[in-house]
Amino acid sequence: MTNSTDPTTERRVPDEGVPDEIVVAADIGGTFTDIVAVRGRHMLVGKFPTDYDDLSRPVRDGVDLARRALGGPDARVGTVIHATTVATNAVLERRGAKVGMLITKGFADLLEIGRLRRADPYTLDHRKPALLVDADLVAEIDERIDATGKVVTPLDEAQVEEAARRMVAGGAEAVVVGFLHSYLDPVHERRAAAAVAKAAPGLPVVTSAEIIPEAREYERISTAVIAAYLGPVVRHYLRRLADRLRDEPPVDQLWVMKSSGGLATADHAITHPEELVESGPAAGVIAAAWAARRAGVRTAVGFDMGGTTTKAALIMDGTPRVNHDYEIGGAAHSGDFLRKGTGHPLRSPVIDLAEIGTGGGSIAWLDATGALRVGPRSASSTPGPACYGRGGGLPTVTDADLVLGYLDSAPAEEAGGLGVLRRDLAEAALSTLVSAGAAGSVVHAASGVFELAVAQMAGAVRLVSLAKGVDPRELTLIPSGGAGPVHAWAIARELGTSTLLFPAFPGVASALGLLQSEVRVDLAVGVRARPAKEADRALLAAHLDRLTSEAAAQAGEQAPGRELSSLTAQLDMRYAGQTYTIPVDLDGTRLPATDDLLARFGAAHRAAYHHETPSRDVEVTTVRVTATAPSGTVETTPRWATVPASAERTVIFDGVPHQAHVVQRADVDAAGLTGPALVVQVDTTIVVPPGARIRAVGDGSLLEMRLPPADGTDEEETR
Amino acid sequence: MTDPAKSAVTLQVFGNALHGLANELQVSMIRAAYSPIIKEMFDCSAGLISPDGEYLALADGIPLQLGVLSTVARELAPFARDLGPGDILVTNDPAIGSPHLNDYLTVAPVLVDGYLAGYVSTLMHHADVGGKTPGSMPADATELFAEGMRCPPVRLVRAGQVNEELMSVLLANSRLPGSMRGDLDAQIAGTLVGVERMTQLVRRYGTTVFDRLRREYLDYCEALVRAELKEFRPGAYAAARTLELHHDPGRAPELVRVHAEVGVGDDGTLAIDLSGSDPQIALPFNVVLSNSRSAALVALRCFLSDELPMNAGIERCVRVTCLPGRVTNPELPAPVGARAALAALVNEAMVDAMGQAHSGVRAAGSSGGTTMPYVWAHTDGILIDNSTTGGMGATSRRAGASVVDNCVTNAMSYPNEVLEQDHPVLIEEVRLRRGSGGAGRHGGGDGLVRRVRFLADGVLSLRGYRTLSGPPGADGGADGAVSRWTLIRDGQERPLAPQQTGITTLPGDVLLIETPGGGGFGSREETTDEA
Repeated sequence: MTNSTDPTTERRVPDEGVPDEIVVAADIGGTFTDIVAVRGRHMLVGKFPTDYDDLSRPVRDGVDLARRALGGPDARVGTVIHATTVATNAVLERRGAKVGMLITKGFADLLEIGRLRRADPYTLDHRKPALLVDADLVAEIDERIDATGKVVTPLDEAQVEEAARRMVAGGAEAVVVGFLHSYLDPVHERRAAAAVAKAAPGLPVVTSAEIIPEAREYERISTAVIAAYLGPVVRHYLRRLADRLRDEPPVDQLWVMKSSGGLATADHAITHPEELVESGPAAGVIAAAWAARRAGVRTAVGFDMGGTTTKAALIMDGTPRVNHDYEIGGAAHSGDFLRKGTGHPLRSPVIDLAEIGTGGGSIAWLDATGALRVGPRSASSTPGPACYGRGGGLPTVTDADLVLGYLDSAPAEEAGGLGVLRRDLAEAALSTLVSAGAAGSVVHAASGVFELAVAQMAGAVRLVSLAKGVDPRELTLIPSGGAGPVHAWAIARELGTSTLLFPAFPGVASALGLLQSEVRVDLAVGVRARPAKEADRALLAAHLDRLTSEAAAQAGEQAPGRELSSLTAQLDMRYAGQTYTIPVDLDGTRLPATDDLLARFGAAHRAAYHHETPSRDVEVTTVRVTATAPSGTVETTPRWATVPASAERTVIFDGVPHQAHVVQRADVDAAGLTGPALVVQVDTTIVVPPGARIRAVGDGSLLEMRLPPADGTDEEETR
Repeated sequence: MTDPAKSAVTLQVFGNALHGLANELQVSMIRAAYSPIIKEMFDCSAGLISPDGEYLALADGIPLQLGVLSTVARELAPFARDLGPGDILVTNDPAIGSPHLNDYLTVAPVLVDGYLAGYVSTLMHHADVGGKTPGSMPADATELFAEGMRCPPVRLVRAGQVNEELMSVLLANSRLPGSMRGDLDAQIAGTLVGVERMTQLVRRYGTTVFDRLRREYLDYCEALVRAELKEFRPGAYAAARTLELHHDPGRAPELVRVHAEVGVGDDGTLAIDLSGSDPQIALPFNVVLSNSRSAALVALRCFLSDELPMNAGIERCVRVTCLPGRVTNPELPAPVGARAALAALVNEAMVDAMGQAHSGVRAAGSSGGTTMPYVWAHTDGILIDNSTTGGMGATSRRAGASVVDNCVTNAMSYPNEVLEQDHPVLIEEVRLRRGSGGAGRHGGGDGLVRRVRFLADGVLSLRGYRTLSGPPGADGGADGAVSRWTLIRDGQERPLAPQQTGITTLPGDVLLIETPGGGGFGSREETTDEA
């Protein structure tokens, strides 16, 4: 529990005339629950140990602290915005509901069969992911709708009722109804859901078309199963949190971050739990995107380095990309679309993130030739790096950072709040590499571990940008996570990029991002329409109208009293006969004239694939509408607390010791300073290498670092 | 003397740069390509090759193309000698090592101030290159000429400029010239990107350092592989696999046997000889040596750790040979278009032989998981459905997975809803074929039951396998069930030959496909699997 003397907490006494309302953002991570609170122009940053017995407790503690620290007599916490890992963890730890499934006759094995392709072809021991439905609770139902939406076999409702009773007897806690072509006409799914409700009152039912009304039965029904599987866990969790926030004095509004990077009310999130799987990481990307917009950066990569993995996301024109082909419960994927097929498909919108298994906890080891390697095995947070002093004796990236002087052995977040980082333990762990002959000294070993980790992370960033046709040398790197700003300079140098941008609190970027997010509603419907045909145009226009008013209504409901900030539409289009589609943005949500629409598609196709074929028929496969509404967060100029630190520290860059100035974050101004230096703040340390310039930009909430031009190659020394 | 940690970092960074570059090349090719087979199935490869014709790096591509690029680069060396900057050679010639005529390869030199740093090479499957049937893979071809146009190594790009006259010849021989042009453009653009990026890399290091590092890096990778190969017991091992070819139900099937002999040296080397395989046949199932070699290397790769870089480090330790005139090294103009099934057989024989030598894992025979597409030409189009595969073989470690592609082809299925949108069919059943996996201590994976109702007139062709003997089990494990292909008309079942072509279908006819299960491992008394 954090008390009022917690050194990581900063508080401000409010000035006159600030608004009464305090907004609190809470990001629950594996070790810490990060809290960022704002009232008017004042901001508070805090970290509380995550409480696994009651995840909501640190959130409530944060709320109470915010009120005490920021509040005047009338101040109250009006809004809490929350990022949660509860959905992801429920899948990873298999703590979801016992799910039964009703499916079209002939397709009981759909989920086990999947799409046949293997993520790793070079293995004899391939395993498919364990199913989230209970194999004994799958029932085939007589019914069929064809690809034109026509009923081929009528629904047998009596059969549904009997199956529902069997499922209750079998212990089902939720039921999925997944019928073929339900995206064209959900009538059978709806009637089946009603029949289940009749036979098994109170049993939660999820129909596939209500979750994702799009073609591709495996992906759609898998998404519905994830929703059913997560439903009870998420409902229980969010209700408990909401209850806690109703304690005196109550909080009015609870929003939850979705994987799409938008917010939803807790009530909405309970009905769409599948939208929460990348809640925390999405918030981190929003913080990076916000920084990019603030600084007017066109092309950036948000780069979030954690303990076990590093995540990277491309941000173009201040906007992160959102995908609809995510997988949950599989292996970390390195932005490598060749490696799909290890998890359960999830078709709801997820911010496009690549993840690699290199982080602060990655362990250094020796391969069969005795050469040094790093990761993907990790010491995680328990036992953690050797320097945590919690029994981990293996050398990690964090141990190398400490030995090189990038981290201080003073109390820091990286130590898990357990005291100081133990340099002696870090050295002892790294010295095992020396005695094995893999390095000539502890410092050489540390430099080697650092550089290997950097090369791997740079590789991930490079692939994320190249996969979208962006030259990594032209992007701006936006680091976050406690360890991100420590390694960012070296990753940028490896990529050949010269500019880095640091958010106000990179170490708590996800919590920060929550405050910079909007309420967002994404609706979609699958169609099969050729815009050149009049009847199909009418269908598309009708879908757009309906989705637009529904999205606007839902956004308005979730952000009461606020004007919508955007209402946009996208059509997934393809040439007839192609299997892949391209998203085409419309102006607002109106269907443009056919020629205009086809021209837009042609241009998008040319941009993506360098050619178009104007003579071929064009189809629309999905209509998407997105509505956003401001969450009402005020922009604020943060202040940074002073961190206890010496004025200088010996830091090793490229094997050479330098005396680096230690500078408080609040002391970096627009004039800036030149490295070697260390910029310290409560949540992280920004390492500024020799010759690099770092300065505050804009209103001072961001730092921009420019690296000196490369001076030849460091490989030359090995000649 | 350089610190060992520094050297390790230098080599890792160098290796990462090479592999990153190969992946970048592959990604840019896929991004730019046109046809679904590239965009959805990623049927292409990219690699960087040393001036000596050794792989420096290979992108994570299609396993079956694993050993092809370096073979081709070596064969092309005489042609490549007088290539200038910005020149690209293309070929689809199986005589050079292209697996079949659909696969066009590019090779371009990386010349930095007169220094030949190596080559960039790509391979891409093109949807149609002529021949007697759409798609250029007729199951009844008796010689190469039925499979499309053969293009010897020619300079399609000279100093960065496409030779449009030559291009027009290639396109004139395709039923899908627009898509072929798009894909060739993507391949050319990808190759040029690769050359540019590799040039930058060489400049960054300087030619002298680059030259030294590329040698040191391959030596290092070779040492890694040798260390792992020590886990195999030295000695001679052999295994064979047989497949029936059967396209006329009125005639007896023809059996084709593939034989792999593996010599494991005590110095971490392998000698693989496929000469014991059957003589080549006048059907398109022959596998050119570069491709047999790929299939063998894929098998070896399954026994090695994931971290091993894909490059000549592996190839240096492994020699693959085969006398000419065998199904695994045919003399042209033998047809080679439908080689995937036999390549999978080479892979399985190799897995068997390697398993005998390995201390860790022994695979069960075989997977039924070769893609077994059927092609149905109807009035509005052609349905090519490769959603039909079988179960995996079990291993000494665990049961085989059900319904999944084998190591070699690794294709993706057609979503049933999209398939029904695109073609007049109703998919009535897609189910695990329970009990089809071979029993054993670890059971083989189950195959698939797929029932397709045709709603229009059409003509059906099959490319199925294993109707006579199921994928064999190992160590006392039972064989997987054989596959069955049946046409049902008015309730009457009519058995089909697995590679039968030209079957006339009427509206309402049902094609029933039952694919093979995987082989089991170990005797069944000790069954320990939960499922």
